[in-house]
Amino acid sequence: MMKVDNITKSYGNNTVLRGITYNFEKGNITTILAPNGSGKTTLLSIISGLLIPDSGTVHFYENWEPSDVCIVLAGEKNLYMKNTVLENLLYFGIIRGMKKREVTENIERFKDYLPFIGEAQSKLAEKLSYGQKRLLSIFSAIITNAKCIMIDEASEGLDMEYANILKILLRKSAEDRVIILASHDYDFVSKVSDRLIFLKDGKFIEEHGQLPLDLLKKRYMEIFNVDLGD
Amino acid sequence: MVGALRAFYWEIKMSIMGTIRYRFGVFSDIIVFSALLSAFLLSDSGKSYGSVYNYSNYKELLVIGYMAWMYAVSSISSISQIISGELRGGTFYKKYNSKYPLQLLLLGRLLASLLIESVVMIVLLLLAKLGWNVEVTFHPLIILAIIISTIGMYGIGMVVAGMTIFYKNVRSVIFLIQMGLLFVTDTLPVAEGILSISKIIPLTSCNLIIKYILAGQSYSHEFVLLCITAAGFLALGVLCFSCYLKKARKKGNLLFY
Repeated sequence: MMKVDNITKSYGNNTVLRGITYNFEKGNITTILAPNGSGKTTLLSIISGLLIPDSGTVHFYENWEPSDVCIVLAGEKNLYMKNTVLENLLYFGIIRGMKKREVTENIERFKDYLPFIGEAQSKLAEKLSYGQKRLLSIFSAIITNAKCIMIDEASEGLDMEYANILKILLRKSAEDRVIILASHDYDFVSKVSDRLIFLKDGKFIEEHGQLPLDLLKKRYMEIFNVDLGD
Repeated sequence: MVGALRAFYWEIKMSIMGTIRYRFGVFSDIIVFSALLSAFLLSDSGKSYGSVYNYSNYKELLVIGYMAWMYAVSSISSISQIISGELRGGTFYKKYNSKYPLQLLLLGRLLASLLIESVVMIVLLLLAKLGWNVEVTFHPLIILAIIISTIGMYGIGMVVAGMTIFYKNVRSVIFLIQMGLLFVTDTLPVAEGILSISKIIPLTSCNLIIKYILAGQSYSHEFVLLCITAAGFLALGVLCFSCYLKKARKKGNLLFY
């Protein structure tokens, strides 16, 4: 389990996070919802240790350590493009302290949900489509022993088929870990999230359990005063 | 410990596999370094070594000094290029959150670069032998001096790597360092006054040791100096890298690549 406690962060005069406190529970997929530039990535980066907050702390319990956190950034990044799919998967597992055999077992465990991984193991990462790269980078985090996985813009660039695959993968892998998502895909997050948190003016202003899509969009429009259409 | 070694091995493996698949980088290194060495040999750049070190085969001194310089500049520039590439590619973040120290993983990448550089050097040695009839004698202590110098220069590389994280684009600084080292560290003949100052750079001591060994002169004083400066620069590098990384984590530079 993990707790962020009174996290505040500013860039110059712009304060993006104002005293955020929250307990992230094991087994839950928690999604942070907010428009662009609201501090979602900043919060994920603070939890992962990439960014030092101005004040506040991140507490890890049950022998968790900062290195138990794995962050997957937005975009088709997070991979070694000149290496094969299999090399990437093995490497990211091994630098997280796993043995090659353990990584291979985890790949086997999940690969039925992700058929292209089996077919493309010897393919260079750069040869994959955007959606495949995105899924591979998320998959490379899922098959590790990371206790907390944070994914920025989780379903970005994924078509309906891949977004469905990702939902299944996240659900299957969330049993004994904390999963935190930052996303704008309301349809995706309404189906996959256990907890939904709205981030506004640097604060968590509202928290929900699962919300149907129409209600989620309605609340989003009300809170952020935007029109999402139908 | 086993896990750390496994990760270290995989860093080397990933880097070498990636480089093999991107062969043009190695070919361009061979072309650039060959052209530069050929220019020095053609212009008799190291002629004054003959009288300074009382050693007739001055071209050998030039070639072997050039090798030491190549390792030094590689250990300075590689680590900065690796970090900037990883920050742009988004893999740095995963490395940062790995179970093992970032410096260990980066060292694996550096070692892979130096291994690739060794391939380039073998080609250069062949070129020197076949094209210029320069045969290089390798003494175990020469190899040891080059290794110690490379470790010390890695310290400078860590300072530059830290600057890369914080300031992002430091390519012109790296170029200046590379060229500066060529002209002040006795890789090419240098004035005595400059040499007395540049001795604080491990590569200078290394170049002097190489020449003293081949010329049959005493080198023990230089060896002690090399060990001290290499250790000093390495410590400075580790310290500066940590400071720059902390500053970057505070300012948010890591997120804006």
